[in-house]
Amino acid sequence: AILPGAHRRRHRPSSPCSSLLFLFLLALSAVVCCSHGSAPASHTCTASYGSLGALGAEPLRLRGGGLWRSSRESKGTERGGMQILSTIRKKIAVGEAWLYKYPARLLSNLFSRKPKARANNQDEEKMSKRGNWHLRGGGLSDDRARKSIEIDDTSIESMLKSAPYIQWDGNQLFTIPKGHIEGMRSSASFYANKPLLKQVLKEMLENQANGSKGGFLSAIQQLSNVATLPGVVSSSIGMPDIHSGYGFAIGNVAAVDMDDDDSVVSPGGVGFDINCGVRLLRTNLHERDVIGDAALKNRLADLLFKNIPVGVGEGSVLGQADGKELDDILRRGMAWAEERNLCWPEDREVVEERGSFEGADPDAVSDRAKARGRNQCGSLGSGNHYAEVQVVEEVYDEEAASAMGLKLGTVCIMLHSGSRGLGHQVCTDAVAEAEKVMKQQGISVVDRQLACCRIKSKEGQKYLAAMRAAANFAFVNRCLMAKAVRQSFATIFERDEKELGMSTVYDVSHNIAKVEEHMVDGVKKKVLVHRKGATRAFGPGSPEICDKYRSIGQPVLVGGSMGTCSYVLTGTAKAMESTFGSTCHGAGRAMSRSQAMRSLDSRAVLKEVEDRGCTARVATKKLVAEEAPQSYKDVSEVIETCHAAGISRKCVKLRPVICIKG
Amino acid sequence: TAFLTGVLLVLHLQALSSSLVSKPLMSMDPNSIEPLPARPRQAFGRARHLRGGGGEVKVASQGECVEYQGNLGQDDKSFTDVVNYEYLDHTADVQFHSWGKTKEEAFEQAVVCMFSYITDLPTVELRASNTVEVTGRDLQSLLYAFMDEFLFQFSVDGHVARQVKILEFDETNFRIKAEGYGEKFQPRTKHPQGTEVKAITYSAMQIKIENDRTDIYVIVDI
Repeated sequence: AILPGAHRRRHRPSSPCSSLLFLFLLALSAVVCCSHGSAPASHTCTASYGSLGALGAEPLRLRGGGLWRSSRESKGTERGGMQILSTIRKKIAVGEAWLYKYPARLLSNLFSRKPKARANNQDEEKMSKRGNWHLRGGGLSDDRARKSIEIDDTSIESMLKSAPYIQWDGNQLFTIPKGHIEGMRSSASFYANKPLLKQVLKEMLENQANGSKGGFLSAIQQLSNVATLPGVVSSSIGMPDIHSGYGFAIGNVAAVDMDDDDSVVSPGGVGFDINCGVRLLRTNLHERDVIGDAALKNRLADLLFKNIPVGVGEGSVLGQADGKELDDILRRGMAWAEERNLCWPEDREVVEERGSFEGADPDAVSDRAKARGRNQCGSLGSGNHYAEVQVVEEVYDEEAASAMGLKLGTVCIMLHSGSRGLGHQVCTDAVAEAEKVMKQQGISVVDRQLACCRIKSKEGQKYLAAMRAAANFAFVNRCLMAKAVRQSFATIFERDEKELGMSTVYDVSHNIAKVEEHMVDGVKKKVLVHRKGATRAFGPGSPEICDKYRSIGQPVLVGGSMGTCSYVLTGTAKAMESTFGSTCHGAGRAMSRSQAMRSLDSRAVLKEVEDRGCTARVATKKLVAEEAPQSYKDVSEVIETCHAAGISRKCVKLRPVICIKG
Repeated sequence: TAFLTGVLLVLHLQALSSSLVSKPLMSMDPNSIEPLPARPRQAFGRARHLRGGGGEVKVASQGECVEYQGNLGQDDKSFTDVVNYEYLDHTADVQFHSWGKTKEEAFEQAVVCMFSYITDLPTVELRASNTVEVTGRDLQSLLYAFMDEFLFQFSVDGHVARQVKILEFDETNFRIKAEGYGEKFQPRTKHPQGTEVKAITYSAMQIKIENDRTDIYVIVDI
């Protein structure tokens, strides 16, 4: 505001010109003040205070600044004065940003000793003082190296010699008859092919050989343990991707009879991550729109990584959910999100249970669980959770693919996440409570983690209500991340999300217990199906599937591991008969985490993933080896087995091009 | 013009200061899905001088005690980082194995083992402490509740305990009172992000108490 020639004008009386100028500058400062309430300055995090349900034209905020445009806002709605004012605000914001950002950066560069970090979070390498912190001082202590067992894998018969109690039907079904362990009320069975059988047997034999000091139960053992639960109907079924879990194996389906008073519900049978599931969104974009321009692909990856909170300790997209809001989310799930315009109405049709479990009771969820979940609503988590941008690489079933809106080269987004801390705490509390009441209810289990309680008891009903509430939380979680993804795409491609056709294909859950009706021995029975690491796969004609997919069967989304392909399958009638309408959920692990960290180099894994054409953005680069493709079973083997066994039909194969992991 | 400059300066300073004060993340306005604050690029530079000069951190391998000499943001105190734990192979998750001369030590090390999986403990300064009081019905449920309480406090408050000290261990009533020393977890700026521990499980849990050594095996869900 130093005007040229001011020194000459210092003693002159103020003229009309200078007073007008003064007034103009004053007005400018006033506008500057107002703009701080809502200007999209990229270095500040300003809060916008809107009332609930207000669908204002306020732009949505992104993590780290930046601007989303609400889907209702388009270029043409601002007219006249509002347009001028918003232009002025934007210009001031840009100017201000320049004023604050560059001097600050300059100063920090002068005084900091290391170069600035890039957006891709390379700080972690410098944060730690130890280059090998990711090995966590871990590894095996010298006095008990684990023995590795070699199995004669020439044929299935030769492999089964080491486990003679397993019967093979000649195809993909292996059965462990009743009586293998004491107390089995039904048989146990699992689906596998030659390589998968080898891995399952190896896990079992290595555990037996290494003794009980610090060992764990193998998947086959756990499958048989589950068959000892009161009320188990037909058999305890294992999917091709079965591996050792806690209590139940992961990839284990068990149904209990709802009409039997003795039937139990087991929180371990649902898993700690309640409603851990996968959502698939489609777009109108083609592969070349994303891959063709490398800079665009990188920008998209960076924006997605910025907008979706990943990693341990990260907050959520939605900030803190206060008490009443959280209760509303727990009670109503996606109905809450639909009201707040956080999901499209048509999304609800293609989600299991329309995104909102009935019978969910927020009061059954403890305060501890709510405290854990409060600031994690809308975050991805870490471990094997991911968000991937994928393209359709192969179409196996044209009719089903076109019903889902997918064709060769379509760009899709797959989100794999669960109910975060809330679900974990609900299960922890339920296991603790079930343990307390098991003696009173006269139940004894062979494995402490199989703690269960009678379905018809107060505790059983409480757990089911809490489980449904946690499931609703997970639905909302995926909704919020889907919203973040939609907005990111809208920003990068500069088109509206509706214009991009970003609808939801389907949303499946693979850790849940549901009340369903199935034919058991020719009789229709109401059963509670525990699915842990198994996805529902109802066949064509089932009334629970929405109209869009009723003729083709329920879509089943099976995620691969980082950098490998994912699949979409459809449910079949055979699944309804043989596995209570269930199928696999993913690759299942082959190698333990510490072994992967010791034998694989994270940088090499990342490079390999990038060479395959998948841009990866991970929260912690050094831990990538844990999630490497080599440490998982081959998902294509799992899919082929499911297809061959007839429990689901292949529809499309998806190849990842961008991968966001925690 | 001098007055004008002053006015503008004051206004801008006010705006600048308000942007530096961290605002609480907002509630549920649908059109203002709140971002987290921008990652402060220069925090790394700030944190480095806070971690203290002078001391060399020697990494302890299992069973070794390492003396750290240096200022860690506290009075000039040296302390030892006991590393009596390791990670054992498990197909999908991880098994913690901790040990100690007494069962108190083994219990403490089990919690430190858990936090060591979540982040890199040498980057955690000893700035704050949290207290944990739990009860159980037997030794296994006591260990379960003990680790779960630390995990819960981490999920809610973000407190990472680099060192744990058991103040009271009542074996007849199965009660523990302990304190964890560490600081608040600051992902991406100060502490590297490890793997999130979802929950503690009873699966294959073993607490083996002998005359001069206690071993604990716990599997956690990742």
